[in-house]
Amino acid sequence: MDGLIYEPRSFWSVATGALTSKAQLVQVDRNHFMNGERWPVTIDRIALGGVNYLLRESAAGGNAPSAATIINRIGIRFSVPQRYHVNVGRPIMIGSIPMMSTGQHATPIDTLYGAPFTPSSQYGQCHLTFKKPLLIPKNAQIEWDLSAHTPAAIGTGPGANERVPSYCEMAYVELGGLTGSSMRARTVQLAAYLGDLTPTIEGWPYPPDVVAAGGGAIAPALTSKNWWPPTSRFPAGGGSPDWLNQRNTTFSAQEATRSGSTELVGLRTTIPQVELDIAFNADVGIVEPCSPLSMRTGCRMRTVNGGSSGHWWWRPGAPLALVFDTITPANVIPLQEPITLGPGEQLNVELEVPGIDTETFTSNYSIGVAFNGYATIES
Amino acid sequence: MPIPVKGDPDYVDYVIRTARTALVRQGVINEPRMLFDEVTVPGDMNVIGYGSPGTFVNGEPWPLRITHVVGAMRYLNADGSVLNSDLLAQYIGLRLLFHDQYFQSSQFVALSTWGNKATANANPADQSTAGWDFVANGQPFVLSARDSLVVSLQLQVAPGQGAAIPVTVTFMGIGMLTRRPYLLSGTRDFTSTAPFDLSTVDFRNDGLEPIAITNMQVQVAGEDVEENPQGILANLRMNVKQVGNGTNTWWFAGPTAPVNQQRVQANMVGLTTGRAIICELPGDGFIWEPGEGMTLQAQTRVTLGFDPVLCVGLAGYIMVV
Repeated sequence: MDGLIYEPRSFWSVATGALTSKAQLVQVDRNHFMNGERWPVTIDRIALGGVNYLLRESAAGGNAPSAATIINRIGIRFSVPQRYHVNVGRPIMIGSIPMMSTGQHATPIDTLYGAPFTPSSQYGQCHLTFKKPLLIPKNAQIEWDLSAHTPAAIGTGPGANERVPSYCEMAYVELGGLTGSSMRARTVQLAAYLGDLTPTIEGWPYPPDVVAAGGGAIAPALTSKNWWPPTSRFPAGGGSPDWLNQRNTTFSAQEATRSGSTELVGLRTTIPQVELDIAFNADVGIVEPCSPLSMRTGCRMRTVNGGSSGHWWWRPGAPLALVFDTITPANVIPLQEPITLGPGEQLNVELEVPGIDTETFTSNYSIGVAFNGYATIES
Repeated sequence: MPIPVKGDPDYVDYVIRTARTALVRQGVINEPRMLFDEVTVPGDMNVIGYGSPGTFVNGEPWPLRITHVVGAMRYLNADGSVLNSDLLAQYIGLRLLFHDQYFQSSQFVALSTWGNKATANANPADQSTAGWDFVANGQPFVLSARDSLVVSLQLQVAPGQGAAIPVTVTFMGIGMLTRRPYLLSGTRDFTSTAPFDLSTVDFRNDGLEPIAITNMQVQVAGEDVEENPQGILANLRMNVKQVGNGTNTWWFAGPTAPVNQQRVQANMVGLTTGRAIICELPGDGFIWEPGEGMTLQAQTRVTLGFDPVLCVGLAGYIMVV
């Protein structure tokens, strides 16, 4: 033990706006990339993705810029002020920077329930494995909330008004015990956000999805006007879905922290959204898969009674896919040399978004950027 | 000390050194192993499916180190129909029981949630190939001069009339004296579900030096009359053993009830690349003395109109001490 506690951290932002006929250089909000805490933060990965798109991919000739695949057209340039520019010239296309495998399997057309559809994701995974274990002292706790997600409003075809629930299995991975490690898991039902969709509203970091303007809505069975619905909270509170016959306390049956400190090594989420994918594909066609909900759901986490004691690990609302970046639908770039930001230091991040034919396409860009790593905290 | 990876200047030295002795215990011979079970998961979400007793038990007289838990849906459901979806990995939960303690949770945790390793291959080959890097995932082994490997294969579903499915298995290694690379590969076109052993001539070490085997790769191509060149690896079953030196024992040991499974579904060997869900155990993993083991339970989390079969494997290597 080196007497230090390592807590995950992320500096993230979502750049949004209308696509124009000319390429744009977008300065991402610098305040979102400032280390406002009193501990140094070491950044060793960059996660990028087209967040909050209803479509994962778009059909040729269709809403080409209206899907998460827009990330293939985005460039990035960033620097650490007073130290160095990572690249000073033209922004580099994100897809051209060496990336790590993020475990996204091919999604062939599926017939699980009869009618063929293309799944949004093969295994619904969004996992984070810590580079360094996080020590949770006895009686300490971690608060972990998922946000509501963009309502899947799509066209007016058959199934447009179906109510389709989606769930998320959330799990902590701990070291110790007879088997070397264990999980504490529970499943919550995700809620669709039916509050004000104005981008400027506090707590709502994403703009309304561009495709959502189409008309009818597939509303998940659970909806919320609260950006942080209490039903999506782990471990306290939370409605237990009947389908699992769980009680709220089931997750703590092997309460590891009762006997002392716990080493936390990872967090995992699985979002099975097969029903939503099927309903979505029934409307838009199987060649345009729905985007994974992990790219439309925000999260916030903090350690209580230990570690940084109440500091959010990242600005609340970070898209799950950007901060849970070991297995994720986002693109993840491992840094050759980690960047350590001292208190008050910040990064300067610019994105280049392409120009499009605005007479043919009316679309927005919504690009998520997260610089991920860990804070080093004296215990 | 960090483990060298391919391309590092000290990688070859590391491979040869570790091929001679196990990382955890000083072994004379080390060979890959996987204990695998195939549990029928009742389509009723309130009913638990139990694994075959004695499957996850170290039945050999040497210590067994388990480094990974592997999971995938079986290509055939319990009634013999083809399962056209791997998506059930999101809905089927499992837990293992070890000395009356649940691993990893007393709850049934979805197979997808177990995975902690990104193994997805390039999308065009994601369904058709699987790779196991023995160095990065545990232990390379020694193929002595004039030793060979027996690779036993079997399709679960035969190709259409007049068609064949090409299957290829390749091993890669490093000469322990010359440090030159070796590739040993065998292939066969399968036209039925009859089991077949690839020719041992293809895998024989004809050289004058032992080879430290570092990788195994399996590939199933599409039917030779089809437009899709990508096959489905889950349609293949396989087993391997070394003849000559080594333990001369099959690497993959499966359940004996209700059916004696002599070969593992081939996508289960994708510890490094492939489509199976891979859970890498922390630290040294489990080290089981002879007779030690676990039991498996599984449960679906949605009601299904059929009974799928879940494949679970505990992979690692045996240490002959």
